[in-house]
Amino acid sequence: MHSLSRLTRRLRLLVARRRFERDLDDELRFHMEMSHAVHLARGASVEHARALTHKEFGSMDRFKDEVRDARGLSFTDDLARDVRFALRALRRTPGFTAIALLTFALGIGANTAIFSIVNAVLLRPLPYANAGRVVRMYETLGGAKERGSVSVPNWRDWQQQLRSFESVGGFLTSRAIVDGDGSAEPMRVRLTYVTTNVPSILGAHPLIGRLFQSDEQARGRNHVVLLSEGFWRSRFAGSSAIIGQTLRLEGEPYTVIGVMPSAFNFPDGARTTDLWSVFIPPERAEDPRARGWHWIQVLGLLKPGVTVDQADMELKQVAARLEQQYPTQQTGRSAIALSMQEDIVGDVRPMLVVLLGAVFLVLLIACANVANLLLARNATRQKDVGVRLALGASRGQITRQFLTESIVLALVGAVLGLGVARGMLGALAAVGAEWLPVSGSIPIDWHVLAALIAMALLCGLAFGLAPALQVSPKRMQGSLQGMSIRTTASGEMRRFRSGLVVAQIALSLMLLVGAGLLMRAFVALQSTDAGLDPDRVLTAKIAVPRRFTADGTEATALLRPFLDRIRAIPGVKAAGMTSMTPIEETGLQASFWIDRRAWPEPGNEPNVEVRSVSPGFLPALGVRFTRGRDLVESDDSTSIAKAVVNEALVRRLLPGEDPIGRHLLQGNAERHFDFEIVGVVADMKQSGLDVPAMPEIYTSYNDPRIDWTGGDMSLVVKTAVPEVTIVSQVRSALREVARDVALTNVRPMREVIERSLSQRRLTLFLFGVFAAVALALAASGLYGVIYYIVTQRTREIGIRVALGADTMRVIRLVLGHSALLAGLGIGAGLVGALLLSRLLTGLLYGVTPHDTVTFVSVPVVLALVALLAALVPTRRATHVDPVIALRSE
Amino acid sequence: MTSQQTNDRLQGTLDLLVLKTLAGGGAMHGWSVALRIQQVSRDALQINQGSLYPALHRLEDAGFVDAEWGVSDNNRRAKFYRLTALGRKQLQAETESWKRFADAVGLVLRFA
Repeated sequence: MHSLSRLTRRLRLLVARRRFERDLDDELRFHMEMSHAVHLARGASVEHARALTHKEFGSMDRFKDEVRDARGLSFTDDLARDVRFALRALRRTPGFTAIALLTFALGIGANTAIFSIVNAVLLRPLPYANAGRVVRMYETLGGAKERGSVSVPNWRDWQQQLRSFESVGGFLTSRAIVDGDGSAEPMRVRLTYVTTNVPSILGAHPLIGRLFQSDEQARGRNHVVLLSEGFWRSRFAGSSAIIGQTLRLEGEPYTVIGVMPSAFNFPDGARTTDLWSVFIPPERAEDPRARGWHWIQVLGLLKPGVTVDQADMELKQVAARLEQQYPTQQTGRSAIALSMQEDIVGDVRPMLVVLLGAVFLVLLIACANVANLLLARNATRQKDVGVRLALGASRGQITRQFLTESIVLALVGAVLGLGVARGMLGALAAVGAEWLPVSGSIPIDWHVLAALIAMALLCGLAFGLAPALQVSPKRMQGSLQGMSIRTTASGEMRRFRSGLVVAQIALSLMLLVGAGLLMRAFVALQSTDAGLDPDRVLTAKIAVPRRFTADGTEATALLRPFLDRIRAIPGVKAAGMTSMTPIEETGLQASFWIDRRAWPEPGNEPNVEVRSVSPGFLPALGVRFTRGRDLVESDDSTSIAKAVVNEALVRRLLPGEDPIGRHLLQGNAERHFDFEIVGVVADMKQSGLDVPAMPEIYTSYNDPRIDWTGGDMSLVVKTAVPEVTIVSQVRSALREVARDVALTNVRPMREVIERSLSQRRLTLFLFGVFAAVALALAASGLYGVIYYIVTQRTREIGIRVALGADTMRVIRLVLGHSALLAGLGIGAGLVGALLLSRLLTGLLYGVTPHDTVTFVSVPVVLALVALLAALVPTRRATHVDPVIALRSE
Repeated sequence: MTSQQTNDRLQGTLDLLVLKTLAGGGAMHGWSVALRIQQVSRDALQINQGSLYPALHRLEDAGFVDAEWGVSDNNRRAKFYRLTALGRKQLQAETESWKRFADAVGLVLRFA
């Protein structure tokens, strides 16, 4: 209390510093004038009175200083002086300052950028009031970690039985077409169906309008819709008159009840959701037999005080009960509850942690470099320091001065680093908009700024400490006598600087090994056989309106005529449709069994990837048929359903048997739907190049008994001409068939594959940049130290040359020293890399963390770079003229 | 006693004298505080008048006195100091501590 008011008094003085000085002058002058007047009145002459006044008062300057001391101003005064001095000193050596600043700005800027991402993705809570209590729940199969969708009967049971939650809601992401209206074009939007309690589970509030009401959780009342702020602004120019108006989604009227602020982007991720409406599962999903139909997403709000772990435990108990109760559908199934934050960011965490670690190593190397530069520079200032010590400066003052200098350097570097960070984030946003589970740009907020300043201060202290510790009166005395360079003190310094360089080389070797491993993994991945030929293949998505899917005419009335027209385009070799583009989309799986074999225990049927495709799809992607035939248009509901399967399915269910004509069964031993196998294709990867092909079944798009698709289809066209040249013809073909169908995401198959690698490519790129910077810094550090050592030993070399040493011997002397440092660094770095490379395991593919090629080639590269760095100083050493070297003493 | 402690004791003494002087009531500027100390001590205390100002600012910093700019008797701008409640408490404590010190020294001088 007491000291607090003192602090405010002092701060007030600091702010009004000029006025304080003026007041102090006035106060003291008043005293002098009064004193002067008194002496005059007593009869002294003007001169004498002035002398007496000054004598009685004492030293004006001294007392002013004491007053400033008393008011706590001297500390800040000294600081300001030190900072001014530091700035002047830095300006006097522009070359040094520029290099040190650049080095440090790069190191700290890269750190700030990566930390901003970590902050935005991993640390920042989700933008919901209840973020800490929102939990996602999934079904799991056979102890696997993969988080699967939930069936409606299971969800209902969870809702009834779970005690850890205040409420449990469900949702489903979907897409829809907003109908054209007057001048507005029809538009494809992302629509998420949520139960009416979802907004309150999240703790969300509307920007305008209202949220869902619980009575809207009923068929007939559920045609209400919330708009996202972005959609509202772009489609309705942000007019609040939209509330209560009708929006038509594929012919159906929906009443707009509210607009959600842009921070509300449920269910989150890199993509933005445009609309939310009420989720009401269809009747058949509520049927007890639909317990095996896993298709919805579930979330809940924890009761206060309940932890996620407790909720997870309870959910697993409930799931275990359900497993006993419904063995046919639930055997082998369990469930998992995890916080929503973890659910969203869990997948990118390993990558971000690895990048953060890598960039931190870069900062360490940069700090070592700056420390080395400072040491080198201060070595040239020893005389200067010696003079100041001799003139009465205390060791503390000089230490403080050195530290101030390095901290000023660090802070200026941090400001520049902020620019580097902004540039990096901008570049990252430009290359990979969808590589992180956040929408929009990555902000540099005050968390990041605080971390930046803390980092800069720490670094400033770290790299200022070494030079500051070099200040010793004894040593400086030596320096005054001009013998500093050749004393033991400088040997100590040499060892310290050599240690720094060894550490730099070790750290950069570790980074290079990491980059090498990631690169090998990337190359391995790119050269894996995806089982398809992406050359001259165009893909696009077709948003199928509900009118086609409702009456089952999707294939005959829309897709087939469309395909016929595409096949007629000159240059088209093959064309087909699929419910999901391979590599890019996955997610629909079902359990199948095979005929003529006893059914296994329920739940043990293999999980099979399912795609609904048209004739021509597999040939268009260049997927090789190993047996049988492709689907044909006549494979429709008039006969038994036909299917093409992949080799992986044959290996799993029919090893060594002829699969053609065999039946795949879906259901159970008593009731099943049969598919006759008509063809077998080579394995094609489904969900990414790094995921091995699953067993897969391709069923006919022309059979309304099978409905995997939910409407939307992807087009695949193989061309003889460059694939992009036919885009406009494809568009007009679609317009001829149906005017209200949107063609979106038109792009070459190559691009689809490239995009699936974007996160890896970005990780590799960043890691590679960090490693390259590290290598450059380590090389320049080595160069600096060897150069320094050569300079120091000029006289020794001179003597050796004078005594008859030849050039080779001199070269061996200098290079031997460089080799020692590089060797020590490489050795230490190899040990570190062996220990740490395991952390990369999750990001690798096709290489082990102890990949021999990487662990052999990286040290060789580093050794070569070290040799290059040592060559210039070595050359200098061989040119030492003994006469000059000896005379320079 | 080390020289630092001697210094503290002298400073403390000057602070005590200033507090006591201001306790006379009313606001005083530095010059009149100086005059007053000189008069009361009958010129026995030979200190530089200037050292009064660090003392005054020290007390102001600690919150024992308040300062305000005003107009002096001869119509000049001057800084006036006034004892605060906190300062009055401090004066009491310091006075007692000084008395104890003086008694202790007296005892030692008498019996040692």
